[in-house]
Amino acid sequence: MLKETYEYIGVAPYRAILVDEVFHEAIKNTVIFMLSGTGLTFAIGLLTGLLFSSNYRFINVFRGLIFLPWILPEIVTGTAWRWMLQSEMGVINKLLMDLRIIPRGYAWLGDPMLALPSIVVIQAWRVMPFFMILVVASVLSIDPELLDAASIDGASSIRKFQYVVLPQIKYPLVIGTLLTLIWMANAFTIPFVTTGGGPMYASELVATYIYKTGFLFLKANIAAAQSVVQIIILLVISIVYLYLFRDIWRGDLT
Amino acid sequence: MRRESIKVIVILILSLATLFYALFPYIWLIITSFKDFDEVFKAPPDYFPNHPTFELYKAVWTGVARHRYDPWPTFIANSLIVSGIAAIIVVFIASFAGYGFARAKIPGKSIFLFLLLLAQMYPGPSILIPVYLVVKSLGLLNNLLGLILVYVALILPFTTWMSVGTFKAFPKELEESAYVDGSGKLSTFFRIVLPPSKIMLITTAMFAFLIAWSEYPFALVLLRKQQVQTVSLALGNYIREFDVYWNEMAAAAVIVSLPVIAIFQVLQKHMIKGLLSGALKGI
Repeated sequence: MLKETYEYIGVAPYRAILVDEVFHEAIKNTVIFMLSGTGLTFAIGLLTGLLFSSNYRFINVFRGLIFLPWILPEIVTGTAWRWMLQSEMGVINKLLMDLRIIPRGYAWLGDPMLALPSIVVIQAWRVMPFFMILVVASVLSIDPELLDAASIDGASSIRKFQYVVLPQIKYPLVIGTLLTLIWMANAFTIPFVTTGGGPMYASELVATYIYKTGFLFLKANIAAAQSVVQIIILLVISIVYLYLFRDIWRGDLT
Repeated sequence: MRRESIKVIVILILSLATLFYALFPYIWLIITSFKDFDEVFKAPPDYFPNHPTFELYKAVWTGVARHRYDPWPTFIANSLIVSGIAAIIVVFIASFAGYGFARAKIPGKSIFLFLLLLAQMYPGPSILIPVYLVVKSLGLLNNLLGLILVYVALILPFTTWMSVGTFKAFPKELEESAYVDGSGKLSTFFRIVLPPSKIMLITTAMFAFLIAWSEYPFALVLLRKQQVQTVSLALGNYIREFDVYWNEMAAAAVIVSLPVIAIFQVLQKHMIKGLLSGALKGI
């Protein structure tokens, strides 16, 4: 279905994506998706990770169960979320209205204002368990004597976190965040089966747009140029990120 | 003392809330899969099915869906073939490569390992087009073999990393005494090193199986004909074409997820450890 023979056409595909407004929208959406999704994963993953580091009965069962969103096929969780976020028959509207959080139901995936935030939340939901278990593993590997010493000195929980826990888990946090950034940029299945980039490209990501350009509009060369741009965005963001946090990962490697 | 017990209760409540947040979508999928056609179209929905039915699973399994014929047994067979063969190839190559990386002196070894990981993590959907073109030029579109080759390439870097770690931790003395007894490199590997590494091999195989079973984007672009579709692709097509019959789709989704959950139950500890060590050593 894609063209069989090849001819050299120079930078024409890059010129094509330069003037393609949908592609600009997709780049903007991808950057928003990456940054807000990573921020959300970090916040929820860190908080719940600290929560799940405490020791009590059933904790090992809980730690196993919490991994479910990460381990399930994305196509399965995408199916579940698409169904849950349905405007009339979806359970999310019902649940939020029963809890009096929202006054009326929303078309989460069909509203141009809500589509992108919705897929950010879904993708963060999926990545969160990994981040959380990373936090749990790092906190549990801290020498308990350090924490005991801080308790004896009368340190509050917040101060203990700030001065004892945080310095010890800085390195895993930095690496976990980088991995999350990469996974967010490469997210395809969940956005594809939930909003499919819609409505009207409102939640189009570069990843989903590459698929459309290549396999629906049948322009492999333009899709390839878009793929190169996608890699560049990801590389630039990771390099900036690694530069910002260079003290932490360099210090830990030596 | 009282303050301590209040703290425990608060932690327990927050933990249960987190669990609810993580598990609810899957629980809802299971609930939906037991609702009959009258109930599933109810707006707003009821939290629990009033007349739980097993009919949807039967409908998915026998392939007689309401609106068209979907051969789910064929899809499952395809997925088993693809994931099984990919897992076997991956274990075979990853154990050799991992042992080589752990023991042999290769110039620039760490750079090579680093590139291996980078090449796996970074591209994502941006290699859909080149992979499609390569598979097409091999004449392997709509062919399970093409998908197997792609999956092996996708899964190998990470699994090689896992096996490098295991073999590095293996006590060198055992191998050295085997060499002293006149055993060759290959026979030492098979007789001395591999048997105690069984758990790692099984974990690697299961891990490869899971990734292959769940993979969607490459199946989407490489397989068009219905008789070669894998389960995840079939589920995706189902959803994209029909935004209705959600109970049937939920049943199909639960079926697709069952092997994943079973494998995870067995290998939970090893997999979490493998994932974390791979990720942390990775960069």
